[in-house]
Amino acid sequence: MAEGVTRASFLRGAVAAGAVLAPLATPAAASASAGTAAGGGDRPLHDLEISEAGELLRNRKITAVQLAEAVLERTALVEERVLSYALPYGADAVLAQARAADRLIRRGTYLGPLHGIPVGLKDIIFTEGILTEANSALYRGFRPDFDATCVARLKAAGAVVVGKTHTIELASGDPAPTNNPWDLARTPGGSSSGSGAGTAAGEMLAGIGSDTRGSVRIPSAACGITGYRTTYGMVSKHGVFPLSYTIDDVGPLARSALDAALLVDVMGGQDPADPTTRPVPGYALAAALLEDRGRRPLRGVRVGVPAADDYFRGVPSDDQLAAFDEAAGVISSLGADVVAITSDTLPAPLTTLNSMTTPIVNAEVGAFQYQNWKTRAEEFTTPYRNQVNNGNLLPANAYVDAQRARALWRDGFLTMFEDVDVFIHPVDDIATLKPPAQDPARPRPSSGNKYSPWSLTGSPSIATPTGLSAAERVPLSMLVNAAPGDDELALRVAHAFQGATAHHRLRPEL
Amino acid sequence: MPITSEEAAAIAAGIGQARGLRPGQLPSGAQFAEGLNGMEECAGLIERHGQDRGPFPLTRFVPVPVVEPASGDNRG
Repeated sequence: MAEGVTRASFLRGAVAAGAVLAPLATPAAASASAGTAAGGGDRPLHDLEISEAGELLRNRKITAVQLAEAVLERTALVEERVLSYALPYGADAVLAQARAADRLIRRGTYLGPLHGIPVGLKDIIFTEGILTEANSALYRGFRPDFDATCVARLKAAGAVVVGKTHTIELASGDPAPTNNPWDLARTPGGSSSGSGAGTAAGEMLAGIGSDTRGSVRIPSAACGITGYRTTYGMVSKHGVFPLSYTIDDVGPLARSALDAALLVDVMGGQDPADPTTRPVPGYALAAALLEDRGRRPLRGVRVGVPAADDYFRGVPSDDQLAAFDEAAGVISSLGADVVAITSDTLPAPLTTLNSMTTPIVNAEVGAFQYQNWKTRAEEFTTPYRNQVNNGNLLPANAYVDAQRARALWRDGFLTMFEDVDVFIHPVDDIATLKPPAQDPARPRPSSGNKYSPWSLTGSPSIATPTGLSAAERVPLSMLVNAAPGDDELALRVAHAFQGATAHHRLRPEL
Repeated sequence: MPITSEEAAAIAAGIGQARGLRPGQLPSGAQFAEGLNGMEECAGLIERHGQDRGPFPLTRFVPVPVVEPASGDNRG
């Protein structure tokens, strides 16, 4: 159900929902105060977006070695505190790749926007001959004998791989040791923790992660960067430790929607080694974003926002709500037709989306680990083992019915896109404090997981920075979502928003 | 009534004994309860909606059918 709303009426709705508007101005005004605003021409190389560094490389204004050295220097300065890396490749290996990239450019061979760009890889992604341990005792010393398809494609595009980044165990177990670069006492979120923290901290220009129930978008939201979960099957999962193969998605954690699109353009496309990839040879998302659409680039785009009593406004943080309302106003000012939507997220008798995700994820990870479960279950950490054990004890119909319910639920949930092209909403809260510290009480509980709906539908879903919290000065974020296959529309909204704001250019002070 | 964590732990222990599983192979009561209660809710949802396209066991996830945007020029 959609109703037209103006900016003013939307904000009135927010008040009715209990949102506190007092801090509204604060997150939006944070763009140049906390952290180093990265808007000027004197920014250090390690702070550049891929699109900017790529242009400098292509025009030979900088070399790949200079860019790699900048990232290595930054890593030497901050890594001890942030702990992004499970395995940094080290200066020799990184500079060798950069020199090779420079040689090609000198000879007139420019491989494209990722040529010479330093990129980190979540340590569940296979790298030929290089340790891939997934933060798991079961895979200590594991050296794959091939590169994951996404890695092979990044390397073929000239990217410089700077190392393997920390992950929650196998994307769903014990936390990574990584700290949030905005506040070292806070978690960076997970499971792609190192790729998120490292990108925010300037240790790489982007990281690659995987997302089942939010593992690209959660660390991106927590660290103030842009995390892009693609439509299911756009990027090959071949050579990536699976968690839940019907939900898993490989995606970028980057500094802008444009950078994220550039990465998916390179990594995406059908892969015979992964039967779940979509039958599309490749993508050209970045080119679509760069089309000139004038001063109102979202004219003609219908953008849904959650109505006052909708599931997606059941957000504990007042700061998140206020920053989101401000962001919706910006999107409206860019020409979008912003309409309030009531989603069908928890149709009876569902009380939680975990009713579908738990049987599905647990059964699929249980099947993947069945041999290890029989003989070595005790070597997994407790949170991961709990899921594997659950998957191997639940009756088979728990899995089958969850998939059947998922299909029925998805058909109802996605009807929202009969009314709108894109649906945006705030994430629940800021990054949490690491134990034993405890987060303060919030004025209201969460209505439930805000990431899983888009995982279950296989939709594009993009974490997009919306500012900093008033008290803690840590990142706020919203998700920009669309129907499966409509990645270009979701990216357009995120890209236009970032063209009109500077939140995505905030950097933590370290 | 949903199954409690304690009830689920007892069921898991019974299954474990019958199958000769080690304690380390059993889920926590809370995790198993979430799975069992989820199973009931999913069955309830299926019953309410009917089975227009089934029943069918999903051997693989088929993404919602969409026309790939501008697939002619490889956009997605």
